[in-house]
Amino acid sequence: MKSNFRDLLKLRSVRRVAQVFFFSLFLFFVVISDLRYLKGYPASLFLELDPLVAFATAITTHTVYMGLLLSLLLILPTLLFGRIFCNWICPYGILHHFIGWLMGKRRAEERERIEANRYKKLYSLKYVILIGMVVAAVCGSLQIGLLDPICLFHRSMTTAIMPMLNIFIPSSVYVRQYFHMGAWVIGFILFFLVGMNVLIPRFFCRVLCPLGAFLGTLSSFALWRIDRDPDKCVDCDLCLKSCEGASDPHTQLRKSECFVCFNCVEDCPEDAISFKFMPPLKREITAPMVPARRALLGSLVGVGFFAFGRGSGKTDRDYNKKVIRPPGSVEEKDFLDRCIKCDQCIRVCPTNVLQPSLLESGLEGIWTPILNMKLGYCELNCTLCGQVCPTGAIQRITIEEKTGMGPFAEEGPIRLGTAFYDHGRCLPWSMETPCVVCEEVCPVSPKAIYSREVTITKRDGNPITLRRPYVDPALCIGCGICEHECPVTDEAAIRVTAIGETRSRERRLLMDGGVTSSVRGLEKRQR
Amino acid sequence: MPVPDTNIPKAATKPNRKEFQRTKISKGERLTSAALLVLIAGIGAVVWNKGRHFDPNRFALRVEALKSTSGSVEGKASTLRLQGGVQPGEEGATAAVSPSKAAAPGGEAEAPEGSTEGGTSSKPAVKGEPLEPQIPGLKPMSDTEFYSADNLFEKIDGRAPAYLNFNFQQLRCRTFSVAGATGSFVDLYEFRFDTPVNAFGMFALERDPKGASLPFAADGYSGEMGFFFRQGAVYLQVIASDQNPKTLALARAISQDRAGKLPADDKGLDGRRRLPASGMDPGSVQFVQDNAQGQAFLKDVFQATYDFGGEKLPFFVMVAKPADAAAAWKSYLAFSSQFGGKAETLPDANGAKMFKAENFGTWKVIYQREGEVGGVVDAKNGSLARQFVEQYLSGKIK
Repeated sequence: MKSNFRDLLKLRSVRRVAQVFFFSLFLFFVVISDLRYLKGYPASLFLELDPLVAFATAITTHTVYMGLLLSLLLILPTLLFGRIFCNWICPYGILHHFIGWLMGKRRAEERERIEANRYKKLYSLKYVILIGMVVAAVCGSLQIGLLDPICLFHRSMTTAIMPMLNIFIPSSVYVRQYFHMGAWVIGFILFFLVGMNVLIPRFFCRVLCPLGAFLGTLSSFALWRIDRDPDKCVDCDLCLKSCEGASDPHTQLRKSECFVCFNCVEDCPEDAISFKFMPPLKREITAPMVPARRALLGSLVGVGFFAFGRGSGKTDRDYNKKVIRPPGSVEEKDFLDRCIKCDQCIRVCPTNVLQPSLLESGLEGIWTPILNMKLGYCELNCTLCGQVCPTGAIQRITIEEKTGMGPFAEEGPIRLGTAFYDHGRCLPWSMETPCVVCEEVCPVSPKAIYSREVTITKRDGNPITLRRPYVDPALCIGCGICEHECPVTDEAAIRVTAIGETRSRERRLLMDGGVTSSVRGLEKRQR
Repeated sequence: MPVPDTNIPKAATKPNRKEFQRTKISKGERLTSAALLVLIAGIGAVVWNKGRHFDPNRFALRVEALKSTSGSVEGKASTLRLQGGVQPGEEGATAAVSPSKAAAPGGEAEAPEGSTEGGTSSKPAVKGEPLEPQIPGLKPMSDTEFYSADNLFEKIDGRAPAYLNFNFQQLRCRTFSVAGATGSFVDLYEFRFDTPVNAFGMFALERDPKGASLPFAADGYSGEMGFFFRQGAVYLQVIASDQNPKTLALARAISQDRAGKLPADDKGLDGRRRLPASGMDPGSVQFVQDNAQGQAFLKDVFQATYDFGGEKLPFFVMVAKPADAAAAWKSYLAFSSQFGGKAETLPDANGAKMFKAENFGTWKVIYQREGEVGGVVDAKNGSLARQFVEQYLSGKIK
């Protein structure tokens, strides 16, 4: 009993408790990112704590979004104690740690484990990746979300894991099964990276993680760190047996690689390893070792990524009509400066309309959220996507602002796009079949869809009275419920495109923005 | 003596070495660990506490935010009707003409102030008399709401176009709480139309075929949670929030109160009164304003389904001027003779002209007597159809 309690007060034991706690907390946030459970929980806490998100968005936007100030709570401890985040808090790192323990060389000979945990030059790749991403950010393209572990894990859970759970256990996650475009790509990337732990322990954390590289760079200034007493050390290398970071504690400690897991402290039979305040510099390698030419290559890739991506025109005149962003989104270039592809908005969307884009918005916009009206529609009285966005790519708006009510009546509602009819597919227009579903479901007041009665002679000679629908572009908010409910389900007879969205001056459909439409004009005269 | 190779890790020389367990833990480490455990617990508490405090409006519709639309657009209609003429580009098409909508296309007409009872133009809802049934045990939960044709959809959304088709004029509605029953309430809706026949048409369209008849309303039924009936030009819906007997009893009381206070008026419902009650499926009674059975000459038609001779027979009646009734009968005969149909004129019966026709495997027997046209349609058995019509004309089926 006494020994158990004593063991609990070891730092390694506390680290394990912290791992269980933070991993459970992350899973909890993923689960409650749902209209039914969200309440006031800080579902995006991990993203707001992520220092790389704060740093990179500060570069691209020249501001720090309000919630991202929380990242200081991680930056300060990193400057003091090193990369504690990677092994104590990071849920993705904890997952890799666990899978590596489960699937790795756990029962193998000690020698194999020791060899697997020696530092390799390959581990400098993450710094090259970080450099490339930072340079891209300086140029104006925010791509840290592709490999940042918190963004990656959130995205994988949202688009791949949660829907997969719901397939196997129906109604466990969603009321109705959710689908996400390209989920298989995201899912396979997750499985691949996690599976690589079998070959290289903590493969992602050691080789690819840009957040780890960022924290590793900050760790160069850490005041406390692992120290090896050469007088006590017998060179048994047992400290490498469970070393998570491959930081070479058996020789000169690589500060930027140490995950502060305390495994080496526990494994050393000679009590030669301890966690000390400012041990001698000669016993460590302070800064990350990144060859200059590789750093230059990373920079060039970053510049090229921005230039080639922006040069495709997808954020400019050649924008894709299906890139319809969530309500409250900032203008497209600013959106791409802020969106970290965490897909939190997709997770919380109650109608499954938000989807991770592939190349619709160009290379820069991969996995950023767009609306797919075939799968859902934008619920009129919902602004949850903006509530959970950690970077302000989707602003926090009220329902009044979204619907253009109350104090926002003068500006009108936020428009996501405009609906257009495909007369060749519309039942009353070309199939002699009555249908007014689109008009019935149009949620705005007054309705953006109206119909005109016309009586025609059918092919069999009988007359039929039909109501043929029209769209008033001044009233349409592009919510997509008409497209979603259209009975022509393979390709709807009414489809929403991005033109007319209020967040962009260039994409306005009506010269006056629809402010002085015949219907709106009456409203103003009455006021 | 061989020199030991110090480069070989000692662990490798002892493959079955017992795993080392550190036992010496400094006081500093213990204090730090304890502090960290407390910090972790504190983080959990903060997250849990934050989850309890939130703005419920973030997840709920703010009804107040919608109030700004209630004084909405004049002259707008969710469905525009042309005032006459052919729709451009529509060869052979005719535009439906409706006398009820005063708005020009584009909705720029300024509607006059006030509404008229039985008026034919859509006007904004004028705040009229509030609904104040004096029923013990009921207390108003809200003010009376008023809706006109322009903003009816704000209250009933997708059902609105159907109401507008029957020349809806005004909706008055109010909610009443049930004393002594928390969470129980009764909603009262009074939909006023321009004519009793249009009120009946809307009532019949929404009628629940499983509803039970009401003793205090000739056109009415009760459902699981409410009472639905027509009184004059008003279609009433009284809906209880739950099936608590007290709530249902109060809903019934409101219904009876309103049935007693609203004036009875069956103008234009002659056709309805002529449908025989014997054998009728009450849930099947319908009113079709235009193009009944796809025929332009059949307007303001009342129809119902009857059990007769073991078959279900649809039967309709149209009341019109004698000349119009005769013209309609003639047109129907001509139409039935087309497309390979077999039509034969039958001997007159009880002052009525009759014909019998078979089209596409079903039978119809149509009569015309002075200002009344009607008959059985879509019957599988022509003889049975003829029997029914002849018995109706002779007064044997009432």
